[in-house]
Amino acid sequence: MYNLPNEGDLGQDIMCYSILSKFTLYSSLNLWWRFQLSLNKEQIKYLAVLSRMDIKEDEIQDVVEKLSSIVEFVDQLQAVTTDGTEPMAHPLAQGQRLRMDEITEYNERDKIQLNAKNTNKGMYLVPKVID
Amino acid sequence: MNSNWEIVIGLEIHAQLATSSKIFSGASTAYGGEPNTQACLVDLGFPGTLPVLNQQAIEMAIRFGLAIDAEISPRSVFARKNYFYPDLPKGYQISQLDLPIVVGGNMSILDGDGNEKIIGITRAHLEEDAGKSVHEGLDGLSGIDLNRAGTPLLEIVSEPEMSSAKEAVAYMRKIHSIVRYLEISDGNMQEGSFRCDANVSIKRFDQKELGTRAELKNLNSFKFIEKAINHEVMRQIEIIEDGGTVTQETRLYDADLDETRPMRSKEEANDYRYFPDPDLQPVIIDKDYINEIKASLPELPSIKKERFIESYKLKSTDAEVLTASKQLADFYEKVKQLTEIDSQIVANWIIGDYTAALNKDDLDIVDSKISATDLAGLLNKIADQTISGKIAKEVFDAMWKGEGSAEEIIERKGLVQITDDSEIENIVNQVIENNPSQVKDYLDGKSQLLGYFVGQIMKETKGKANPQKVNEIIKRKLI
Amino acid sequence: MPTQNIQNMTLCALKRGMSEKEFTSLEVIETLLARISDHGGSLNAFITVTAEQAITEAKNADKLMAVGENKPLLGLPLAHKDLFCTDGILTSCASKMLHNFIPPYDASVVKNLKASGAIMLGKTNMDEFAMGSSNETSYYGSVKNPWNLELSPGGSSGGSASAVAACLVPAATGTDTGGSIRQPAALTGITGIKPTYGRVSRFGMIAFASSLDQGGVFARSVEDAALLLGEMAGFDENDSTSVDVPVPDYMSSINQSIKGLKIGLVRQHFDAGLDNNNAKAVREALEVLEDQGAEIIEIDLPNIELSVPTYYVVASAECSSNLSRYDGVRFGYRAENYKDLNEFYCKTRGEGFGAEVKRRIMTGTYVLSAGYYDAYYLKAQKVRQLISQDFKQAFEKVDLIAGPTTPSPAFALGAKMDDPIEMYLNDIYTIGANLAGLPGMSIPCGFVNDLPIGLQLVGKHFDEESLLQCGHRYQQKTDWHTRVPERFK
Repeated sequence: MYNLPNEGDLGQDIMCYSILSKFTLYSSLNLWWRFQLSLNKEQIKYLAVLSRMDIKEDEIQDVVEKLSSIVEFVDQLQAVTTDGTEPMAHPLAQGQRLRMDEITEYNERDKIQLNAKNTNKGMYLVPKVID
Repeated sequence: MNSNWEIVIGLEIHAQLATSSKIFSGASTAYGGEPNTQACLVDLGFPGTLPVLNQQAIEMAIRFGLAIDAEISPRSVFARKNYFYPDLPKGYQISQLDLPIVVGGNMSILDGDGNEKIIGITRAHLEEDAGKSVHEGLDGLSGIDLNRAGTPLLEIVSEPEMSSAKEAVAYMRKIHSIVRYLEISDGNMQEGSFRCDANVSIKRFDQKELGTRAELKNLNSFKFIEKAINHEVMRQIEIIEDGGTVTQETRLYDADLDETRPMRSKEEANDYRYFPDPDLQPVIIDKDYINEIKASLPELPSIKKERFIESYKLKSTDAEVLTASKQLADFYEKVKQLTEIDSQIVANWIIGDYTAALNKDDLDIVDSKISATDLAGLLNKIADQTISGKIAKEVFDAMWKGEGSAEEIIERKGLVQITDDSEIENIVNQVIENNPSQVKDYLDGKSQLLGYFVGQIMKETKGKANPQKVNEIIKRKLI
Repeated sequence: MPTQNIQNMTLCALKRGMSEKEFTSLEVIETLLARISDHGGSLNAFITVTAEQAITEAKNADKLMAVGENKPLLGLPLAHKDLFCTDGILTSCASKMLHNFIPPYDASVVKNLKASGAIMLGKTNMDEFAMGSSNETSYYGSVKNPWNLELSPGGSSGGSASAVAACLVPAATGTDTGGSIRQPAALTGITGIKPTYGRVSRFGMIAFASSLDQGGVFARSVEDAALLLGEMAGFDENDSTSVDVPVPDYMSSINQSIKGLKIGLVRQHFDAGLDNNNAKAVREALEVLEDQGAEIIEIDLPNIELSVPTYYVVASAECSSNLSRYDGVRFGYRAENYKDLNEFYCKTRGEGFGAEVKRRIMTGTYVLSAGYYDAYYLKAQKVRQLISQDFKQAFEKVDLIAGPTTPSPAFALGAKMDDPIEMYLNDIYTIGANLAGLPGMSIPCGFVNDLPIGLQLVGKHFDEESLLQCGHRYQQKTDWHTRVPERFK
């Protein structure tokens, strides 16, 4: 069912533990298998912007390839029939517990701000926010 | 120019709920604390922390839903709205998307012509407030204060059914009054516990589809909202009449310049990637709980107004003013209870002199210088004819300055009304004697001179003569 | 001399030894700290060793024992995965992003175990933010498998597994989101248990995937696992996903017979992907259970093959959001040079997170993004429902489900780093239990090519007892769990 071939299909001879043979086998299979990537550079750059993470230029191609293979892998879910099935957000079917409206937390700013490098007058400092 | 255009306005109101603690943590929601002294680890989004839901926030939301005749969702879900901003510690806001706690509902307002108009409410949902940022005095940096982060908000979304800035303000005032009535929010706009965004668009009268809308933010007074909306409408009309198109964007209202301008940070499209918050379970609300809350609801403004019209035989406009705030309505009823004077007179005094005094000193009813008992005492002195209505105003002013009770002031200043017929007659006779030409003119037909005679008598008696008796006696004498 | 055997003793044995005054808690702690000092480097199992604190606590424990105090874990040593917040002590999640994070509070798990008298020896290494199955993504370097230092111990709780298997500490906490306790337990030849979702509080357990994460235990015997789990578990009002059900006395029920216990064997598990020797060892293990009176029944979990892609959509979606709080503003790594707010965020997060974490965040961002939400996230949650329903139906026929924990024994470090999918497939047998929220346990059941392999048992919701009973019976008849790697004897 998976896009990648199973170990078992290739026989017992593949089942050895040297790093080199496994590595070569899988990378050559992958190159043969994937001549078209499901995500492109622009999409990756957009995802990086949305999630506010710099990806270096020399890393981008690797990310494109790896993310493409992940997306292809999870694409197999598309073929599954799920009409009439409720999505499962939690493994437990219980309602949210409510707590009483009481103040139970008090000022611990000094202790908490031991972890903050840049503060002033009790506030956390960030580069100027322009609206 | 305006008659070609139809204005379409929808309002999104964020009311901070008056819980003692935050919606998902036990830190205090009190206003004005030193920065970050009311931001606990959960509010700060520290690693490993988790949200737990405040029952009072749910109850308050349900109260609101019941007051606007909406449906309370038996199952509602919290969702994460993901975006990055320094005042949003977790990098997401816990809000509600697909299954909000309150669905539907409506609010009636008086439109431009004074007719009742029903404005539909799409939904109301719970979410957490973000923190605040300070941009000055920090060497070119911004400072983040997260005391406010996690305060519960009720976001109330109207249908786009308002057609003028005035209607928008009327709707907003109504909602403002309701949340204060229900005691779910203090509605303090200066402190930010009642905020409004307006979605404004225009279309030609014959146009079917709605125009592109602009979202106006930073509207924190009733006055500003009216100005901002009107300004925005003009701006959009100008654009279209010049042949351009309105861009969908968020604009900030600048009160000093009386103009709106595009908001920089919102220029980039934001994909919020909403999904149900896996740290919280669905909120299950059963009918018994809803009924419990229903039973404990205070009398709502619309019901109270009807009752005031019915029981006190007041005019609709007077009833509207008196019931606009719960405190004022309570004040009225308390005074009414303690005096037998006509309810309309009580209404006139409260809507008139009393409110004027509060406004002049910029006071809220809770800080009133005259209590309901005091005012009732004064009105009783009118009722039993001790003083006239006119003198009563003098007494009222003295009472407001703290010079004592009505009784004491009347005594001290010797303001007791003259009601003795013979005494008045004597004075009337004196005035008639001293003003022969006016008497002749009056008898010749200048009936307006009656006022002159009354004035003279009042002067003589330093205003203490009972006006009705004076009128009566003069008329009797001058036939 | 007791000191020579202390390192090999289970918690229960140590407890007995201390109560019989064969040795003190201080002697135990000092022995183990010395071992950690000697061997810790070769395994890289620890990020922080809390030697001074542990010694002070050991002395206190001895004083308390002398006056008859008998808390369940008094004076007993353990280690915590560096994902549990420990007040005043570095909690890094093996990430540069938190390399300087000193939590101002204890996780509920840490609090509970402390209250029971346990003594923490240190914080163990792991895959960065619990994302990985080989403990190779840590900012502090890979952890080695004590059975062969060139092999991975599994992940993400590789450090805890390695430390326990090498007898540096008798037990350690771990977390399991897709198999991160069970898989390393299998690959290092020890016992690991992930309880039912909601059984152990997640408050203070730094989140990876909220609807899948559960805290659990590594130990060298099922008995020890039962002891620790009993002290760790319980309702916590600070965690909305914590379940208010009483925690049974696992220690007292552990000796019950398993006669008549119905154990299911999943047809889909024994396909071509499973190493033949692995399969053989598992079948032999089941025979031992049959001898004890259990009944083996073949069952179907028709959608189980979809569990890996389902998991990756759900877990990455949740983690992409959970990790948004790491922005350098209030704690953690903060970039040095930036010209504006945007660059501040992008550099801090770009430099603070490792490659696998960034990949998962981007995958999660993708599957939640506009236009893709229905096709990926919503779809995955529906498939998750199907998988859970399969388990529910299976549990109408059987009490437990048994099978291999991993497709093969430990693999070489670096072997699977190039292909994320290959790495993900390591979790193929374990993920189902996380999706359905079921308790799962791995116990050692043999060796393949001189490397340990594990038997996995999965139970019904809140039925950890059956797992523990079954595992305990097995360990009374076999000795796989007593084996220690040569260099660590």
